[in-house]
Amino acid sequence: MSDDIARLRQEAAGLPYGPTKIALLDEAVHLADSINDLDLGFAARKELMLAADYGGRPDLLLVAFSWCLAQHDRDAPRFSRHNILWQYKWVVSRAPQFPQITLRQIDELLDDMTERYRRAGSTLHAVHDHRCKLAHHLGDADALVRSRDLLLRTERDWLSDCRACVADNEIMYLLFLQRDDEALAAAEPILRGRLKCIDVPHRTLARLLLPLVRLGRADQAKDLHRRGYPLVRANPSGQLSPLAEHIVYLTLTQLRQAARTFERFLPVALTAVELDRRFEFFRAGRFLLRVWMEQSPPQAWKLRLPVAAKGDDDAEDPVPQDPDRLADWLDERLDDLARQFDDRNGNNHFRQQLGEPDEWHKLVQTRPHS
Amino acid sequence: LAVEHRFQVHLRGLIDLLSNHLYSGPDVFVRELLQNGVDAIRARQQLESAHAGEINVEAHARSGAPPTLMFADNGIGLTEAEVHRFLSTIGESSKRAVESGALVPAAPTDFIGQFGIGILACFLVSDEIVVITRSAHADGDGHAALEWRGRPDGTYVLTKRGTDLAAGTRVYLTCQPGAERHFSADAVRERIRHYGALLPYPIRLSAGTVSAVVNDQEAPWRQHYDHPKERAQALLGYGRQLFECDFLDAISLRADAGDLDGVAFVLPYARDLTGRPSHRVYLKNMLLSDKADNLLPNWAFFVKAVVNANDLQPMASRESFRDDEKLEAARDALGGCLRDYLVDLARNDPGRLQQLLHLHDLPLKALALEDDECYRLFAPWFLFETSQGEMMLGEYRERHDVIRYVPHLESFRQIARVAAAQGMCIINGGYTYGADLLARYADLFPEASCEAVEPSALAQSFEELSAEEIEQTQEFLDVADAVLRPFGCRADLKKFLPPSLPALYASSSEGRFLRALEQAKELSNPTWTSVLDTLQRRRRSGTPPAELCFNYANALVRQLTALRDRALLKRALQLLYVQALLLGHQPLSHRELALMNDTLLAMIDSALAGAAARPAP
Repeated sequence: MSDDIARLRQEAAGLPYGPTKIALLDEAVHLADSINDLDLGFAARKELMLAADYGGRPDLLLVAFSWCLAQHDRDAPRFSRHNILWQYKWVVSRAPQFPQITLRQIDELLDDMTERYRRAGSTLHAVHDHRCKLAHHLGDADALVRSRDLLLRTERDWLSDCRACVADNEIMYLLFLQRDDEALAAAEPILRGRLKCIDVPHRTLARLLLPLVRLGRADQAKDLHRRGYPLVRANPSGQLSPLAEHIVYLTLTQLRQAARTFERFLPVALTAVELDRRFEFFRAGRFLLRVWMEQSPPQAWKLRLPVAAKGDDDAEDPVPQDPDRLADWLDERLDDLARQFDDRNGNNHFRQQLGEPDEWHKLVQTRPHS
Repeated sequence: LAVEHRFQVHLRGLIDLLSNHLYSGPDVFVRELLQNGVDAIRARQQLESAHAGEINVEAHARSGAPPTLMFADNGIGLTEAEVHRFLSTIGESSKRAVESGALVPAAPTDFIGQFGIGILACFLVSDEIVVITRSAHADGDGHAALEWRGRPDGTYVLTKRGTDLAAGTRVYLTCQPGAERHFSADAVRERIRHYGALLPYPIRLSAGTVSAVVNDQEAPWRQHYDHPKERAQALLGYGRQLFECDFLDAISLRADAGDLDGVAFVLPYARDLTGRPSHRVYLKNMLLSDKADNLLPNWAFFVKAVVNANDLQPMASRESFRDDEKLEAARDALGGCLRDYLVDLARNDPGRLQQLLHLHDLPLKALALEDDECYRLFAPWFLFETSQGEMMLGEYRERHDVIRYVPHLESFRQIARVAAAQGMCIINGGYTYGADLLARYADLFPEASCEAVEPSALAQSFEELSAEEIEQTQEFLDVADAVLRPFGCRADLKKFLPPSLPALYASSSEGRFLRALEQAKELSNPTWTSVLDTLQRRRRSGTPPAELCFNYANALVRQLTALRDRALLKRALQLLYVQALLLGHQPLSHRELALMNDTLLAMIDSALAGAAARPAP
């Protein structure tokens, strides 16, 4: 049996991030548990968590982490603290993606993480960064500014995200605070390839597309799309958010290509566990449809989906193929997703984001299609 | 009164720092010298197109004195102003440095060495650099040659020499203690060959009484061969010499974009998908990098390439070419070369293609997913795990009208045995690209029908019980449902093969997730228990997360349906449930473990009681 487990882990190690890697590691965890080998179960979960984090499966990440945390708390010398502390960051940035997890629960997790970091002698640099992330998710500018002030005053330590990720986060915060110029200046080291990691520049290139279009820097946006899209298309389940940003960009520049990209990845979005990413992808698709239907002369469009695509609810009808009905279908789901998040967050940040396509739409009128 | 001061820079310290960050080691001084020579020759050829460039290197070992090296080129040479500007300023190079980064518009350039610290790299191995140079511009007008002596503290002396020297540049180095290994003739020859083997100007190395041209062979892919076989052998020999590897085949590469040519070697082993393969790239025939990883399309990780480009920009780090539109066009063209090779194999040497497809299964499946024509050509040879063993897709199609596959590994494990017993051949689509490829099959082969099978769907295809049988087994099912409900599992009873299997456990991925969650919850602290509880409240779909389908064709199950002792029946069903979990490699929760223990003990108890009640024989 442990041979099987070793084979699965090895096979998974040779695969790129995505569902297959997750499935193999999940199986390895499963088998380790079936022979009640805690050390093997811990080691395999460590790999599963990484794959789940990069592969769009925060549900698996949370469950695996809770198991590891419990093992660590029972027998700290045997189950490494460093892993727990490091992965706790993934957990607190993933928990808000589940609208059913309450703000109070999220706070409890952050507090628990903070306490563990403090006891480990950390400067709390990473904690501040993750409080910024939470504020960003909630759309709470005041809280973001407060945590960011703390973050900028705190020294990095061994628990901080890598420099490329920290820089990318900073760009995300600045963009949210509508400081586009500063964000672009902060992006220079990443754009020039001096800072990079497994997530960067993938995410950075995508998040700068729209700001660049807004600033009228079309050539640079085009270059970032050209460089960025190939980096994210191979792992759609883990990169839905950048893919949505590329679709919005393509809608502004190459409508047909935008449609093809949307068709290609819609099946992934339909069953995405990360509901906030699903929201972003649907919103991009909704914008695409709107621009598509305004074309004159009108163009026929039927979706080309690889398999009869359905949402994650078996009882649901298949996705409508005709643009008018698909638009309604997306609106319904967008409203529902926004409501779920806003109810939990106690604000209307997600509903407000539904208004963003209006802003994008102004860019359509100013930019003729090439 | 304010006085302006200048920073004092310790040159060697700076060079050391730069070269440790920009370059791999001190032996880069050979590259910088070659580079300078080549650039100078090229510049002169712009002046006099018929000029025959050459580079001469002399390595002198002297007893009782440190060894020396002399690098000479017959290139353009430097004027006095150029000496001050180019030899003595860091960050300035005669090749007009262009900052890298795709955001800066690329200036067209004729030269390779845009980012070097150039000749100053020689301070890594020599305490003094002496340059004697005479500009070709100065020829005939009586201008003297110049001698420049630079020292690592940042000072230099410039003196005029006679007018009897030919145009060109000579650099003299004297070995500093500890750098001896870089001055041996063997080391210098090896480095020249490494960086300059493809250079179009003869590089002659003289040491003692021996003198020979180091780069005496043209790039093997540019040579003429009488027969394709001869060509293949020569290229494979070259590959072996470069990489110490017996490659399977050599594919010629050519791209107009970037003015690029070279060869791709087919790896004799499968490479894993995570690390990006690295290629050897030359820029204007001078080695740029051994580890360029952005040269070929993503799916092309079954080859190792050696290429030269005359019209691409290097990255500042010299890792590879800069990823701009030109490289993208070149990459597409190179991908086209590899693809044409594969398509040609499919038509003319299918046996070899099959061999490649099985060895480089994943990259070629990735290519097929992107390229319909390749898909059609490769499809018959795709190898899949099926419930009847490994099989190629073409073979499968000959035997079965409908392609049936399960998209997930875990589902395959659950149903493979039962499917095999039913005579159904089901493909495991759970491995990389499997389900994606199969989902595409019907699009490209419209005459074929293709269906994804779920374990629960398989159970639905089992034979139903007759009305009479249903009536007889009602109580059995009621008890089974009551036993299984606390574990989130539903009971069913049907007839299926093999009869030796009493029950089939089938869980959806939802069911599996919930099991893992339960298991974690049993251990967790209150904060986490509440989080996990919340996660459990996911939207439920209509089908139950797990089902245990009992097999009425199994003798034991049939006996149990007739059993009237409810307590015994309950225990038996509990055991069958646990056994089905174990057979499916499902980890047991604490509750299930407890269930197993209690049931086993009770069974042993009652067996013992039965034995005690019987009189001893």
